[in-house]
Amino acid sequence: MAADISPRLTSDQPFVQLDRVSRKYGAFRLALSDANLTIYRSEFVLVIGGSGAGKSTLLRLAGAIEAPSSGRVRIGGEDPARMRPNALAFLRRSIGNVMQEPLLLDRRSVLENVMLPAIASNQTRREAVERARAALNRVRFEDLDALPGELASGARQRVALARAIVNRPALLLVDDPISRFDAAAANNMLQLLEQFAISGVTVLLASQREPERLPARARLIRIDNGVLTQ
Amino acid sequence: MSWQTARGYCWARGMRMLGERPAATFGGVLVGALALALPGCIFMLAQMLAPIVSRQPVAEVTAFVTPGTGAAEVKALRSRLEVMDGVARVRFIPREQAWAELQRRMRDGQAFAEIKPNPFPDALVVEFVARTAVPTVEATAAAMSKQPRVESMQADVEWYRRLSGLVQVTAGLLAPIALVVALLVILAAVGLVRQLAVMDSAELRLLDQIGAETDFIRRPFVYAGAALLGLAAAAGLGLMAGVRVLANPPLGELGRLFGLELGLGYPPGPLIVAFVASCLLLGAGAGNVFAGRQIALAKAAR
Repeated sequence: MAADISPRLTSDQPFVQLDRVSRKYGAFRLALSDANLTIYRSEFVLVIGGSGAGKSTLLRLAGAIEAPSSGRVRIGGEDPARMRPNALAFLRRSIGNVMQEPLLLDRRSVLENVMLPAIASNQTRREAVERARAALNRVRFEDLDALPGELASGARQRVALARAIVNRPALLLVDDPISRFDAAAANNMLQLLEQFAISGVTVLLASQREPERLPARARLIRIDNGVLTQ
Repeated sequence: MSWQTARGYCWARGMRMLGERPAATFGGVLVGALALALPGCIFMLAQMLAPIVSRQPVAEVTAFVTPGTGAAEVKALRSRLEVMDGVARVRFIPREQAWAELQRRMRDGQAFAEIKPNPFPDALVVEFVARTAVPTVEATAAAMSKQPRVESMQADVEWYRRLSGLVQVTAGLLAPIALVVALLVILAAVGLVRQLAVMDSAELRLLDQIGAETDFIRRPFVYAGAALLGLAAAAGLGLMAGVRVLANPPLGELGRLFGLELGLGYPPGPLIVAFVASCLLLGAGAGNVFAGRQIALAKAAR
């Protein structure tokens, strides 16, 4: 049975829960230590921390891309570590991911890259094209036939964001998009993400620096050496 | 239909995997074709040789009759030889027939036609029972040479000894050789598909991350693997055809010298269909296995 993660405009329901979660890489590197965090539906959470503080690890755990070394993660009330492969895939389709280094397929056009999650979700080609165009329009990206390898880092981030929202996710994870932008571009990105949160999407945004203008709905969390402080 | 879109995507992606790496694909098809053509050629060779090898080597000796011997005496001699130890049958070859046969086989028959008179004597060709022991053949041939009206004997027992040994060795080696070749073919084929899975691991990781189901991730590898080995099988059949075109004229010449019909023929149609189908299945299976392994590796690397 797949998790019920359809977006609801109520913010009193826990959506992502981390319960004493630690994540170790290898024998010694502790990227996240005993973290407790609850994120509610349609909430906008901003995680601030320096390079190597554990932000990306937190996002990967919240996105069911990684499993914790100890503790428990729940998304929509379900523990991804205990889900069957197809149920986990179904859950992941409801989570949009924009990682620090967006994994774009450089030999496919921007449109094809953005369509990919829709096709993987068994949409028809026509629907996938329509959704991809709408998503690219939403992030204000127009050159649909461009190849990602030809794009600048900021443009790649916007394409990755379009790909992340093409399946109308309930949860959007964005890893450090604003550090690479100037103040105006960073502000635009924040406004865009805030709009998603207003429309019912839960947003977890990681950043190395605190933005000049904090979104009105945002809850700020700090992370340092794998330890969360709220 | 959404499933058609997903399958269409998987097919396009599988073909793109091959198309985006033309050199690797071409090299893979070539290696696969060579690996597959090898057992194909062995099969064609075995098919050609089977009727020859399946005959038991039979020892033959020829008794040349003293010139001027009458027909009745030749008949009596033939009867005596027929009852000797190990003899299966005796054929009478008149000297005229031997002369005509020699002229027919030689390209420059005109030069022979001018030689007169016919230098050949009448001959009695003695054929032994299959698998007659070499000492028996030698003893019987010696006894024949002492018969009245036998001018001389020609007994190439050494040839018989070598052929008997060769047939035994070939029959013993054929199965292990076929097994080794089959294993090499499978290894080469599986290695080709493995390359694809390794080269496409980034896309594989992405698909896993965006929630594509396992079947959706694996299917392009299955299609690409099947297509790669399908192409290799087709190219292998092409190579076999090439070998046939090149080898058949000299084989035909060789066969004419020994009075045999030698030539490589294609394997039977159903066998070709089974061969291509096996290659497709092998490629698809290898694609499935290696995609699964890469997914597991991508997960373990996190």
